[in-house]
Amino acid sequence: MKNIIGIVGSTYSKSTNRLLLQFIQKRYSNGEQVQIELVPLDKLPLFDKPADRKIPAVAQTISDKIEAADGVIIAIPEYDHSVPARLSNALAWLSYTTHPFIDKPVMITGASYGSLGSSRAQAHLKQILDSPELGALTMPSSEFLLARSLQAFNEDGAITDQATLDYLDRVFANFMIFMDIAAQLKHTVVKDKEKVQSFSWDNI
Amino acid sequence: MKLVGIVGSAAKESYNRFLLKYIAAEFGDLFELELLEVKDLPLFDQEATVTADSLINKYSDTIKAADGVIIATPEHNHTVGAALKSALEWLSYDVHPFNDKPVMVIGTSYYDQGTSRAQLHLRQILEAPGVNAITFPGHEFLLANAKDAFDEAHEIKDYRTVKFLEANLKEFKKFVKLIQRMDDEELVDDVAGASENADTAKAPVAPVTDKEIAADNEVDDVASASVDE
Ligand SMILES: Cc1cc2nc3c(=O)[nH]c(=O)nc-3n(C[C@@H](O)[C@@H](O)[C@H](O)COP(=O)(O)O)c2cc1C
Ligand SMILES: Cc1cc2nc3c(=O)[nH]c(=O)nc-3n(C[C@H](O)[C@H](O)[C@H](O)COP(=O)(O)O)c2cc1C
Repeated sequence: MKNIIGIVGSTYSKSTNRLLLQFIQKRYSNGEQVQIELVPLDKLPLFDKPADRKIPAVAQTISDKIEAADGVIIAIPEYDHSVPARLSNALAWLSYTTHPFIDKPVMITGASYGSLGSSRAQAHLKQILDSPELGALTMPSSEFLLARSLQAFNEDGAITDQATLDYLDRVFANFMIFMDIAAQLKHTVVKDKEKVQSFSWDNI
Repeated sequence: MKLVGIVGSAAKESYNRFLLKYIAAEFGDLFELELLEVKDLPLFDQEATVTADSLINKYSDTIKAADGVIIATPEHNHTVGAALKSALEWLSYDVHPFNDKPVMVIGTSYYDQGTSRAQLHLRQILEAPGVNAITFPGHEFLLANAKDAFDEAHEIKDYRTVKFLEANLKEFKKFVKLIQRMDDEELVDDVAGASENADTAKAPVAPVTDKEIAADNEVDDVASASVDE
């Protein structure tokens, strides 16, 4: 059984990225091999690097869920050629006192209204997830870019284009394998965690 | 010359704030610098409208009225601080004060990199059509090891760093004047006259007013139809 956390990088009520993740959840969550839970970001306050190093209870809850999960799927919109502040804000909280993303398998997806499918936001997100305090294992060479997202779903919230569906199935099948492979890369996990726990930007 | 400085960190004690305050105090003979704080703005919410008396609208007007902008960015997880990104989202959706505005990017961080990666992201963000700033090319100012860089009075200790900063700021001033000249009647007419299509050459570079266009079609496929189709 694979336990996956889904994060929508937007709090917009009509977000097509939420539609995308809900669709992924419906399509692959079967209660037997795969369980997908979506966690919302809207309760997280603005990250202000509190000197007392206390993080809000919501951040701790999300952190614990990611820590316990086998993998994370993120769906992001593109805002100004980059990652929405909501998501980078969440990632700042999730790398301040706890480090749930260290060596965690992550699959990146994204949707945009236009024809580019959030390509630039996804490229930035890969760089961000590779920074030392996040240190995630982002699945390589499998971009899932959903273009023209306002037209991509039917009334039941399902992706209508068959080629897109086939591709999503393949990417997800890869992610199932990638989570197994990542789980075998144990040799550094403990060390990576220790390293990052003892590391603090404030102690430099 | 009147410039706006944007403090890109939401931290109570911020080295980027020290940096901008230092510039405002030390180089007052070059320009006047008014500071804006991103920490006072809420996180971007696409469903909220920017009302006339909101702080976002006030910031927008202040930026519009300025000759240029200096943004000091922190670096969090190899990108710009979320508070700064959020502010730029507010200022590129309902309102577009950065349109054709000369912007200089600077930043300071705790370690050797001095916000190198955040600054590259910021330059790409400023290029997006909803923002549409004219970013000052080259002249990187990365202040590394922030905790050692300032003395107790929050002044930059290293003399060579100060000189380098001053040289960059002087260049930026020239750049601002150059960009202002682009709007000169004469220059516009010259270009229009030389061009085969005077109409397009003369057409003002309009700010992206339609949210949907800013968001989408202009970004992606320049000549395509509206989002609502
Ligand atoms: C502030 C702002 C900036 C945007 N910038 C971009 C952009 O650079 N590229 C793009 O494709 N869409 C941009 N958009 C439109 C996106 O909202 C849209 O393409 C998005 O990816 C759809 O995701 P959602 O349905 O989950 O909100 C922008 C929207 C906002 C509110
Ligand atoms: C969650 C988190 C992530 C950080 N990531 C970086 C980073 O990637 N690079 C860096 O130089 N400093 C990083 N820092 C340290 C400082 O916040 C950063 O150097 C910042 O630019 C300091 O500017 P300020 O004092 O104006 O907030 C990070 C701090 C935190 C709390």
